[in-house]
Amino acid sequence: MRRLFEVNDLLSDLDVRVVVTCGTGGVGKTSVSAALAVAAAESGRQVVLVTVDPAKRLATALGLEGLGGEPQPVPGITGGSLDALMLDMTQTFDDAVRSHAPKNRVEEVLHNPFYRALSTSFSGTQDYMATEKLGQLYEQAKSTGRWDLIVVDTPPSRSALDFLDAPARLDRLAEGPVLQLLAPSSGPLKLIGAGLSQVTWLISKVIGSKALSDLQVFASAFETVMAGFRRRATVVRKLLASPAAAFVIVASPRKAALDEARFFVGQLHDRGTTARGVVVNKVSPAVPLPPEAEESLRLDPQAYDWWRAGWTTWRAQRTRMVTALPTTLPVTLVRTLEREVTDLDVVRELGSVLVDGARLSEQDEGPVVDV
Amino acid sequence: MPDVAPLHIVSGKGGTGKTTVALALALMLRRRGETLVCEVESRHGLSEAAGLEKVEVGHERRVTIAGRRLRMLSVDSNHALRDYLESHVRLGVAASLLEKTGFVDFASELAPGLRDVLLTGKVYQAARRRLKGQADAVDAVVMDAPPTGRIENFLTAGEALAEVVAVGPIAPQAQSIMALLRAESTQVHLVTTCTEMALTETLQTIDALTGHGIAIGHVIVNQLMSDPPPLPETVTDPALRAAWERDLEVAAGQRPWADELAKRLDALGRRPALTIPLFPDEVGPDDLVEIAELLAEGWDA
Repeated sequence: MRRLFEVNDLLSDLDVRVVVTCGTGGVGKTSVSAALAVAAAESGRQVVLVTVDPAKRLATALGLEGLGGEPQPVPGITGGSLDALMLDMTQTFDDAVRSHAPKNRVEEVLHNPFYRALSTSFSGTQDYMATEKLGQLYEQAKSTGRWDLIVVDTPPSRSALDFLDAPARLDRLAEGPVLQLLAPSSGPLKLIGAGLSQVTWLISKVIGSKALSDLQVFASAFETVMAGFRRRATVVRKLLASPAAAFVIVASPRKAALDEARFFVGQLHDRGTTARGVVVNKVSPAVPLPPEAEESLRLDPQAYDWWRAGWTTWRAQRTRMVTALPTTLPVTLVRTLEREVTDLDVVRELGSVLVDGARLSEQDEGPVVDV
Repeated sequence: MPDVAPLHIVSGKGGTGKTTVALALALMLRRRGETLVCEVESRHGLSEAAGLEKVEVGHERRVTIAGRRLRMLSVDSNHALRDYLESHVRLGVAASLLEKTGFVDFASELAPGLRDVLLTGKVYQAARRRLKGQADAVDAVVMDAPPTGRIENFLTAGEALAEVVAVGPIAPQAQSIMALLRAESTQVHLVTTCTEMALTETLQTIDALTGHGIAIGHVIVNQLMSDPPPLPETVTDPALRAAWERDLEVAAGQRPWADELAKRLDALGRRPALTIPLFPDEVGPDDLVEIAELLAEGWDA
């Protein structure tokens, strides 16, 4: 019997200030994040939810239509309060430039072709921006007392790790020789020995000399912005490593999602953090039947096959979960809901399923003869 | 006269089964000729979905799925950049300098679109083998592409890159990729489920890609659940009844979205969607063949 992930304990733990949900695409991470936020808010907490690219009707339900980047109150919440905001990458980036860059360089950065392309079309930017936004909200929460819990739905990425790694990647990038080289004022030129002109020549061979000079302008103007990002990223990194942050992994009973969950648990462990638990979403538990009911069902071969097929699916899902998930990781199961999570009622329903919890049991009460 | 092999780009919302469909499509195309299936960002997603040993990143290899032979490739941007530098820039020893200075890292992290252009570039090369009469030529290329949430950026990375590197050696690379993606031989197929979220994303993606002049091939509705069989009156177990009613409700919940999709595709003057039923558990190699047959039935209609 696996330990049950007690979602309620997490949401009522006042020391937890940030809940970060992680998982691969298609597991229902956005829905689970919204459900956790609603459940926490309705249990009395002052919550802000940062969500990424929710479905249109869910966005409407959360009061997020057409509003860029600022937390908006979600209507219809009782108990505590819930604000929600959608991560607007370009907006967050532009705001960060405005607040971090020296006044006289703001326009130069905003109009640089490298910056424009970076802020709109670079997929990794989302992870940096989610970090930036989390940092902003955390500081805002501390100074205004408006929220006591931030729920972050991490951007869809190849790996749940991308979000966690964003601050470190930013550091590597800023400290990496290329930016140092292109923005010489940023520090000692370690590369002089390697031949500055040779390296810039090489780069221009690849991207062209016009682009190189744009890049140099970008790099030097962007240096201060980077420094601002990195200050924020440092705050966020400390926050995420502290007991005030809780990681919730969201998976589905598919092998790829479960493997990713296990991988992520390991990665968190290497960073000295533990995942609070895993939510396995969209499971389809089969129904145990008493022997006499099974006998009666057997008289209808079609219905009997339907029931047994349900057990075949469920046994396969359970075996995969038991195999993939580390025994130390608390687990809760969420069955596939009949309706899509596109309005506040279904979000609430998902929230109560999460709070009620369902254990991953290895006990089998299915048909004795497998199909 | 041989030409560039057709390129089939498969995308879809996360969780809709685009990797499964990409593999099944490759198996279907295999009956018409040599086929390469490649992935551009998932680490071993294809080989895992096919129940194969991991394919080493960057190295194309032959695989056999349920008795059918395919070529499989996992494209990686760092490999692609290195290859590009070797074959286009002729840097020789200097290439290692770029590595040492962190340029390769830098480029794949920061240079907008470069990474995606290099990934597509590798796939492009494979499609051109036939044109060049190479021994390893293939007759079709299937790409397991990024999900719909990122596909527009991915496929228009050439534009993003061209904007910053209007001149310079990499500009023609960006240009030729933009041209390939708009060529008659290239189609994007979108995998969806009969749910509001997936359908909305699919329709948005059709609009967006069409707007960029990129051709949409098929829309494929995956994981379509059928009604459970009638439950006899004699069965009174409340938990079983509840489970049956849930199944019925989930199946019924798909219908309005199936109708909506049919209506929208018709209004766009597009072919009706192809459908693949929900498989009770993870799709295995034999199931892939079955899906390939299903796709074959409606593919050229």
